[in-house]
Amino acid sequence: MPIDFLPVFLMVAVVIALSAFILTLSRLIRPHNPYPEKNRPYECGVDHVGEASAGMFKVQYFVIAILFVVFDVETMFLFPWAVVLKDMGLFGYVEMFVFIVLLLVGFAYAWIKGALEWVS
Amino acid sequence: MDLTQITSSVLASGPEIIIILGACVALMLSLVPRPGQGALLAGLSLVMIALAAAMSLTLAQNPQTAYGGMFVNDGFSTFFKMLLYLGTALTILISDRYLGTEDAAKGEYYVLLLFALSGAMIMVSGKDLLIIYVGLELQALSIYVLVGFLTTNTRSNEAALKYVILGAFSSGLLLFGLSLLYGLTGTTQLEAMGEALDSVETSSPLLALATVFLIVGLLFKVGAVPFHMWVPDIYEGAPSPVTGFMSTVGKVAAVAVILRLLIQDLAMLDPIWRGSVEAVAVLTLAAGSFAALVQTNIKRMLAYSSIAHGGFLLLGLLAGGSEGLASVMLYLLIFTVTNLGLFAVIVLLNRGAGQGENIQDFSGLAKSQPGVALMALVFLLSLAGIPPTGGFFAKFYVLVALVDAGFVLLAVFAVLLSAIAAWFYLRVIMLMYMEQNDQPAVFQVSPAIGWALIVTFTGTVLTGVLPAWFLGVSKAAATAGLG
Amino acid sequence: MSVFAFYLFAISAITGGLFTVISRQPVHSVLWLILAFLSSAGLFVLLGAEFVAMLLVIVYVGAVMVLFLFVVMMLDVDFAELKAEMAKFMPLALLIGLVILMQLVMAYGAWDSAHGASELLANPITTEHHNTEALGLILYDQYFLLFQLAGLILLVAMIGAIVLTLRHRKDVKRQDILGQMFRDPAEAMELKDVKPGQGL
Repeated sequence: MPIDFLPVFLMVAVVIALSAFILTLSRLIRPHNPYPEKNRPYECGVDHVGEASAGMFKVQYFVIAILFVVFDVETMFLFPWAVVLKDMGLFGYVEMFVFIVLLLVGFAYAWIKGALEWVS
Repeated sequence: MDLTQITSSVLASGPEIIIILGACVALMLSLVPRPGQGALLAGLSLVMIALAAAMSLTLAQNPQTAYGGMFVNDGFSTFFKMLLYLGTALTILISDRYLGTEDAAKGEYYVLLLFALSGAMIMVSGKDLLIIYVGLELQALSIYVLVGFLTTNTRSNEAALKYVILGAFSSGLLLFGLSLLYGLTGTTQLEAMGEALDSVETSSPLLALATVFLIVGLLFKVGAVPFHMWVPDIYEGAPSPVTGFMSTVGKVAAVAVILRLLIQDLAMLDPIWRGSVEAVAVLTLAAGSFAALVQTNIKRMLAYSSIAHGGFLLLGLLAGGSEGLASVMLYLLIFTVTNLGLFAVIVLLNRGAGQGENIQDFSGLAKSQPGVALMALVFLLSLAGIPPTGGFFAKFYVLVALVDAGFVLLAVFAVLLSAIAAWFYLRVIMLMYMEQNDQPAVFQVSPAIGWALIVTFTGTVLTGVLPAWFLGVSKAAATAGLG
Repeated sequence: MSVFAFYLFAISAITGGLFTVISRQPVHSVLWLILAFLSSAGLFVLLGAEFVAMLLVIVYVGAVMVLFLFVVMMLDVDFAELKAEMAKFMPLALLIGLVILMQLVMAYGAWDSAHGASELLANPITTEHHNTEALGLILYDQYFLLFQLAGLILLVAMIGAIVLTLRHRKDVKRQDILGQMFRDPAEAMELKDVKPGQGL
């Protein structure tokens, strides 16, 4: 029942209130005089040149993130299955087996293809 | 669901399982690099399609619903599945040569084609809105990747990006309509939904809103007029066999869903969408026909031509009844065969990196390659709708159905616009036979493309010579669908 | 109590959505979108669907938003120029949005479900099964075809992502295991008869 989540809600509210309090208090107390050199991003003491990415996009980040999304969704399918497996019996086991095998094929493909390697 | 239901359901979806298994096996095989991998995978895919077709035909003996009423195997879905098998097999036959020319041969191509086929098959057999949607997404996702398959070609990348945005947006609209329909009826099964909607008046604003979103989502997939803006770019940038696949198999699956929803199960929604779809059909025919007149790229011209053919299909939808249904199904059969035949010729003309796609490349073809030029002549005549090719009878039966249903004005518009559209097909024929070219296109016809050309040529000629038999088959499938 | 929570989550979701669109920094946009998702998760908990709420948080916020952040941070997008272009179409976009809103309000005002709808819609919140169990009981029993098809779509997404993006750098030496395993001994080695004192 939703009312059971009241402790969770209270905890989130307390966390937000505490962080807001700390940040507001420090904002009120601390001195505030920014100047351009202080506001620049840190680059080990030298002047930085260009934007953070400068147009060079490492595609491995994207591949890893996509694979993570796919396997995350697969994991979420496992949760309700685990809860009802006893009622589903053998049929439930076999259907999840088929599902995992399908994704195992994809996993084997990604592994052998070298998508999981980090090439710097 | 108990064990007997489960086994009968799994058997009923046997063809889909065969295709999916084939795709997984092909995926694993594509990892082992060896020369001749492309031919091996193509052959494997064709074998799987043949097996699935055989199983579909045996299953067609006793129509049944499976998976608790969500999946159906009747004459209607079997007819469409045969079309899908034919379209995919022809695409596979013409792909090997194209991938070689473009130097983009990767085994995953056939895997993705098989997945797209399985998605289309599920769409066509679905009797539940969720199954239709999931099948649509499976097919669309595979085709997104196929359109962008030439990763180093910017036109291909652009086409893939446009197709992803277009597809995602239209799927969103479709899903919104589906969810409103679910809210109105409380079920996603089409039969129960039909019964529940009988008690809702068609003037209800919520029902009208739901229908509009549903129709708009589906019309995006067919490429009808206000939603056709990016279709020519997508068709031009995609690899030629994939364009052929999209324009035939994609259209077949989308039209099958439209027919099943609007003529079969949700027929009571008819008054809501009839007026606007009439306008859309005429505009689609007009836009496709007029815009194709000024094109110089053959794929772009064929994109507009397929938009125009989509308009004709919408006219058949408007005719309604078993006659309109049968005429649309026959039209799809003839269109699949003819269009893929023409794309086979385009693949032969392709010289890599976007060259060989200009209409001028057809000039002088009759002298250098008379056999291929003759086949291209027949295909172009069929697309224009000139007897005795199949295309003529395709349009003829649609027009007959329209006139019988009382839409004489629409039929007159269709005839006028087809006459205008015939010009750009005839222009290519004139280029082939009457233009002189110092450097005509010279190519070797590989056995695979040779087979594809023979099959499509025979199909186009046969449907033109014996249309009545094909019409009988379509009528049987249509009554099986309506019943 | 739940009414207060509903309004809190709803206002937070709308604020998140609004600031996603009007924020000037792309990373800020993504963060506001995360706020919108978290508020929607709260709304789902209020409806008694705690598994769906967790699904939103774990998959949407945890995976999809991370993907967004990667793309937003890595791509060199001139955000100010995009915003300027968007401002050109703002009046038309607002008009279309307004029209659709009016249509939805009209449709909602005349809301009448079909007669059989209330029987077909079983009460979603029951006390005997919690949300995860209820979802599991129908997903893996009645709708298992949809479940397998979802697995297929995930597979195609994986293949598609790898096909489109994977490029091997030519200058980096990688081990080609299958190539090594399927190496043909007849081509890999060559026996040469060398006389003593003479080289090859």
